[in-house]
Amino acid sequence: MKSFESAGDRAMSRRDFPGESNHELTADKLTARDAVDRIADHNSVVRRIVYSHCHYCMGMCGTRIMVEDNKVLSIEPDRENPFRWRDFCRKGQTAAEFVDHPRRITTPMRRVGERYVPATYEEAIADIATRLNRIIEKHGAEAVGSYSGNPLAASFAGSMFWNGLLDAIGTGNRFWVGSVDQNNTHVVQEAMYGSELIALMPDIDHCKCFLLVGMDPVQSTFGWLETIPDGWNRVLEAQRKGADIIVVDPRRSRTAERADTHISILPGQDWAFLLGLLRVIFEEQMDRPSVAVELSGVDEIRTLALGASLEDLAGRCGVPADSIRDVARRFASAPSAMCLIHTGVSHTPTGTLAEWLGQVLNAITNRLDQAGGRRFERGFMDVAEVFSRFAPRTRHRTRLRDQPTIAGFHSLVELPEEITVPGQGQIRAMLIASGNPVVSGPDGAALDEALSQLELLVAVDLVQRESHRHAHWLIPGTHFLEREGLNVLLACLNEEPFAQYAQRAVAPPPGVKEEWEFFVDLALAMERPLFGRRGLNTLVRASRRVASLAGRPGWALNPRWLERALVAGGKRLKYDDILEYPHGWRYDTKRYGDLTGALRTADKTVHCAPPRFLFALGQQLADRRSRTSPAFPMLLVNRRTRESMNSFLNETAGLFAQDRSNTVELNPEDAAAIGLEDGQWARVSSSINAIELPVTLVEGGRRGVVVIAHGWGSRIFDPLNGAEPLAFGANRNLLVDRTHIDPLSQIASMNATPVRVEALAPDTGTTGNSTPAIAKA
Amino acid sequence: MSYVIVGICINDAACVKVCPVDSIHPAPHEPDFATADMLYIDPDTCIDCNACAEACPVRAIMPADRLPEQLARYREINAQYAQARRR
Repeated sequence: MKSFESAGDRAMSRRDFPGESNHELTADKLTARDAVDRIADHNSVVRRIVYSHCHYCMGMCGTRIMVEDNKVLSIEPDRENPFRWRDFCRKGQTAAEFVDHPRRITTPMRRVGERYVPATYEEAIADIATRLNRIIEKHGAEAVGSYSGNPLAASFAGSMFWNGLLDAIGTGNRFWVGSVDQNNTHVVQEAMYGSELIALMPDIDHCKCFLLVGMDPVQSTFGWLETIPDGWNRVLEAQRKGADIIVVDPRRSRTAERADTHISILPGQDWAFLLGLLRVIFEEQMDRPSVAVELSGVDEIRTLALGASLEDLAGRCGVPADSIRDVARRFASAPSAMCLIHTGVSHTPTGTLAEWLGQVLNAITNRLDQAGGRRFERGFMDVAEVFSRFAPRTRHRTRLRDQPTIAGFHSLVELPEEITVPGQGQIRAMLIASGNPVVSGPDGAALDEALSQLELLVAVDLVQRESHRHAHWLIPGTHFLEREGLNVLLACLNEEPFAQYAQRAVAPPPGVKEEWEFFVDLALAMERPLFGRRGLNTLVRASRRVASLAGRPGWALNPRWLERALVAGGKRLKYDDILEYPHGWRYDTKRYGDLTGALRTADKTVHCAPPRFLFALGQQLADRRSRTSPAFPMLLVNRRTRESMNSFLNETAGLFAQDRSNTVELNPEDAAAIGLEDGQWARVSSSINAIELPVTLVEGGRRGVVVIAHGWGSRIFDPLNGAEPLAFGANRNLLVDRTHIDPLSQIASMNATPVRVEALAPDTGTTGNSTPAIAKA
Repeated sequence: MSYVIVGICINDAACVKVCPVDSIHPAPHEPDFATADMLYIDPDTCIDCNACAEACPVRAIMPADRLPEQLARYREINAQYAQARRR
């Protein structure tokens, strides 16, 4: 049983069954509380339509979900959502397949030898609490480590109470998925704007020159850390009206094909290209005063840029100096412009430097807080402010490498040694929530080995994935279709003012608790104070007792309390008003001019020359080593596909109803030189590992660049029956050395990984890779 | 609005594969596929996501409101197929 009354339940109990279809009801007749509507088809089978939003990626498309009994019949884009639905994809459409996954974990399971046996939550929580307490008493709280993945962040309740549990335990050994791809942006935001959480939205519709670096919005739509609905189509619309699109990417991506100019850069050298742009702009005095915000450090960056040689930078990034000059002039002279840098660059050893230089490029050409540039959206609460009070920055540093946290967490690259190297503070127990770090992070083999050495590994998820294979306890997770709530933090990362309460479509399997409830119950059982605040556990227990006595489950502590408090604290919206809009609420129009007020730097200026970055750039300029060598002469880069924006639930069978592939993409000339043909199998080796995949030839990319998408090669185990694991493709991240990192962001270099590609005999191939290896659920 | 497939379609179904709302028919597993002259987009379910246009190797797909005059009739041809299929 759920311990609180959900809004959806209330709606159902209030509403009579209409005699005929009323799914044409419009927003003004429906409130969010009534968004769960019951309709009857001609066979009088009761169906409901639920309006919600998808939680796969930051697109967060509005969805219209048809439900019969407790089963999702279909998921469509909610065309009545006034803000976001046009990025709807197959992944959102097939999301329900995982609700009914035959291998879904629907009860806690305890490891017994090589098998798992079902247990009750009471047994699981008692055992885990006892073992964790014993480890903490013997070795200290630091001996408990944690990792959380993206799907947990998609649940506000899950992520808040996860932190509540970790605070209760008192450990600083917290790792998360952000360290796999986005930490460089947090580092730059902190240094330039004074907060890790100040993200600047691209103002697409007014932009006349798009400089897109390391991104492929044809596949990713446009969003990354923020929601930019229909972004790529709007860029194309701007192009039809005369805007210039410049794409910087080693690959000839679909995005690059649509660009006015494609700069096929040497992987990992974006910083040199961007510094070259600055050099030209300063040299030709095309920089402009910043109108909306005050800048500091411009003189330092000017001196540094003018001191660099354009020819030298051109050589480093593999782009002719004339091209750099041309792009610089087009960008600087455009009436409006933006430089945007995404994952492709984050994944390089110089991702932080490039992100910084890109932001400086915007700053010195007056693109900050200007129409068509990058603006600040204040949302309905000041996220940076709330976080500075609610979750003050931790000073925790890692035991072995003495590294600080970024956005509150440590980097995954450090986790294996923190588990395996003995000493005070060594991690002996791990909690993994909705994460698969063995696959999504670098050198999964090392992490897998480390996880096997733990005294206790607890995994909370829908199915037992690769990273959970050594788990002592498997705890059921919930699907986003089974949860509801207002994701307060993500709701403030919308391009324009918008809020939507996500409705629950179906109930979780009988008895399954939402993640947040499990976290709360575990903290209570451990007798350790939630959020580290004395008295909170007493409050939780008291509220539950009162709720139980009064027969009002909604009175027990639940995440809606927190959501409500945070919305109230923002002083812009009323929580109940948000609930009135089942399709989402555009509560205001966008405006400019909010960046200066949002800055959290002491002097209220944008810092263009943080000393740490200047120093690192100086080192970079002095470093002339090539990443490639005769043994590993090519560079491996990553790519996205629309159906696997993130690797969560990549395994859904219906996602690839026609076909799917996980291949090595090669330039035809490179392939010919190696002796490889399209479809032939190849072995790709790095200094630490090797994988085998079939080859796809792709015209137009830079020579010497090898492309393999990540997120594949993960297994789904069958904990109950021990059947063969389900798997597809190969995990290319196994090739990535976790000691090759961007030192500023601590992100592993998943791009620009030196590799060697060799042909396998034409009839070789370990598994049929072009046909689905996973049976349809 | 909707997207529209025009007569130069080569039935390679690259668009079918990427359509997030199964709006393009006949799909390779459907009986009509083997004999179809071309594929068609259902204007009632298309969400204008542009994925099919991006995927089409011969640029046979375009937004309905950007169809050149001489291809305008394909708007109706796509809609008619979708209607017939629903019946």
